[in-house]
Amino acid sequence: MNRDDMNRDVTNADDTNHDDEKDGVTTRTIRVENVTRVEGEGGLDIRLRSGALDDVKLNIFESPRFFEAMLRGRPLEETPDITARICGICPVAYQMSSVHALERALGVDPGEEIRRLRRLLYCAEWIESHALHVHLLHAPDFLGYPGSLEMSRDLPEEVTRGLQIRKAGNALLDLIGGRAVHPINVAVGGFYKPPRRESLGRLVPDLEAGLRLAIDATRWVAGFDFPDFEQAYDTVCLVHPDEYPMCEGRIEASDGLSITSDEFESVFVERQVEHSTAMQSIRSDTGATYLLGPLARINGCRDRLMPVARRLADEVGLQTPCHNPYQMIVARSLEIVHAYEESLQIIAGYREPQPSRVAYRPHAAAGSAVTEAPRGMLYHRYRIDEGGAICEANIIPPTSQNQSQIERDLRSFLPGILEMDDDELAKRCESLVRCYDPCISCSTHFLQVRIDRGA
Amino acid sequence: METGGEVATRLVGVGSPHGDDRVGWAVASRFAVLRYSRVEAVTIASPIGLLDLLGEVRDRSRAECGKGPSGGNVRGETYCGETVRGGNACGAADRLIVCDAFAGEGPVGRLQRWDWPDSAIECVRSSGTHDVSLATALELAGNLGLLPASVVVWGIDVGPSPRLDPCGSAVGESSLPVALESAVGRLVWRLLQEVDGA
Repeated sequence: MNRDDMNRDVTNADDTNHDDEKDGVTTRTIRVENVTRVEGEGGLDIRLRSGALDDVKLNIFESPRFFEAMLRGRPLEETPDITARICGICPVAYQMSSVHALERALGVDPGEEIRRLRRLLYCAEWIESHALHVHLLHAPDFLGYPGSLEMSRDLPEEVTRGLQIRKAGNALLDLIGGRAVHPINVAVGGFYKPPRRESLGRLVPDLEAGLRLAIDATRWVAGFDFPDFEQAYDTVCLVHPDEYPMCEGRIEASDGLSITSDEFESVFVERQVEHSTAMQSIRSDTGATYLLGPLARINGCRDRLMPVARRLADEVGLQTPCHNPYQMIVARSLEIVHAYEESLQIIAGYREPQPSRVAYRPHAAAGSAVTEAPRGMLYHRYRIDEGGAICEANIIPPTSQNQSQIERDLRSFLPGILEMDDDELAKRCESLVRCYDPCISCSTHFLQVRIDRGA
Repeated sequence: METGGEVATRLVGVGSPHGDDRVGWAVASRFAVLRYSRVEAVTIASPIGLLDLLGEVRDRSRAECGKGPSGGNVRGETYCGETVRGGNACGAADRLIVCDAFAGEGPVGRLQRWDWPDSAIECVRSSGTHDVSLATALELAGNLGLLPASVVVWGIDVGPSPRLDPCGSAVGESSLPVALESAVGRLVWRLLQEVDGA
């Protein structure tokens, strides 16, 4: 029995999976206590009545993080370092959204060199995060393996390749960020200590090797057998006129929506649901769920991929707009190629920013920003007081925004597989959830507390 | 000064700069200061970094002297975190010792040793980022042919409710609780005996 089976099998031991019959109605309940091979802790509840789907819930039971509350009263300069602690996988995303929001509030323009260095740092995070998910968490699903351990016994070269792809990105992240986990070099206005041109140059051979490996890996992944399942997604991402979205742009949706980050909270609303400690998001204008992440970005901005990535997308036959969530692994792999290409381009033209940090005067202000975390749009909003302390913060991660869409996907997906036994059905659902590369730890950013003291 | 024996040892401290999770780094940092011959002390921030470390060492040992696997110069090594190097670089080590915190039953500061493979190691950092635990990382490394003949895991029990301290403090600041500070010292002593006895 492997670890995935152990987690799934808990339900049988507790007799949580069960069939009940009452008044001629048979209720079949399937519970996955812990969705495996995702970041954080989440479970699934699936309830069927007389053979038809009655309800499905993605349960997030990760404890709330209360980071927005923690930021109150702290100097604004501490925000990048504090928010980076929200996630060990995508700390750069939190730092980027925070500095962009604070700089917009303060009227700071860090300049082109800092902007490019920030994109380079984001490329490193995309490489590291995407490579780990593709090779260790998601690829086993397509090849019939319970997990990466079993896959590594039969396909050691492919797994090793994935780790090598990730490692070069990690080295870049470490160099620019000062540390790969919870980087410490990002500052409001720029960087504390930008890397020297020679230091970046030393990474070029391994980045070039990583690019070649990433191209091979994309071809490998594109050859997987993808389930025939499509959804009519409303995809949302940043769109920039000149570049593939990372730190800047307008927020655009496939239905034609185009807004700035200042309008975000009027269009995308969060709501608390009983079965999850993470809040869920829907469009306030349409009441609909929406999709963030690599597939949304590729659908909206394919023509802004770097040349090799764009050509590779054509070669592997990725049709866009794509509405098959299982193809997210291909989109993710293409973004790794893009990130490697862009990294090499930025390094080739790199000039050390002078100054490394643009000066600013703290004052009462408010600002918001959206940047593209590996999993999708990450929204930050801050209000600063006269002394430069944070007095209000709102952080909406991509995984919490994608929750509603994940549940909707499951509701559409399940009716087609209900004849399967519970174990196989649960595995198929977990695999669908993994398409999103959910970062459950990030998604529990805030919990509304209501106290009813009675009459 | 002891030589560290004939067995080449790589000592890896797993941890972070936050709260009680610093213990693995603290052990590696103190060992690095000793500069033991044939013992290389390294810190990593997550179990997945172990795969980076072992993979790079294998690539380095295969490559020409002074050149990396891609033909470029070998750069300063970092493995998902701050790197502390001490002693002489071992190349392909004969023994791997991993030190990490674990949330056990207590008492805080209790030392636990496991010889890999041992399924009990699941309790050590059992929920790493992206669900890659230390045990998973070791098993994966084994499947990829990256592990040396001898792998030992040392855990320092930080109790069921370890301090997390999200705002962090720099490695090197002596703000570990007394019980953990003592445990780090005791473990370094035990490790000295272990490498000397090889």
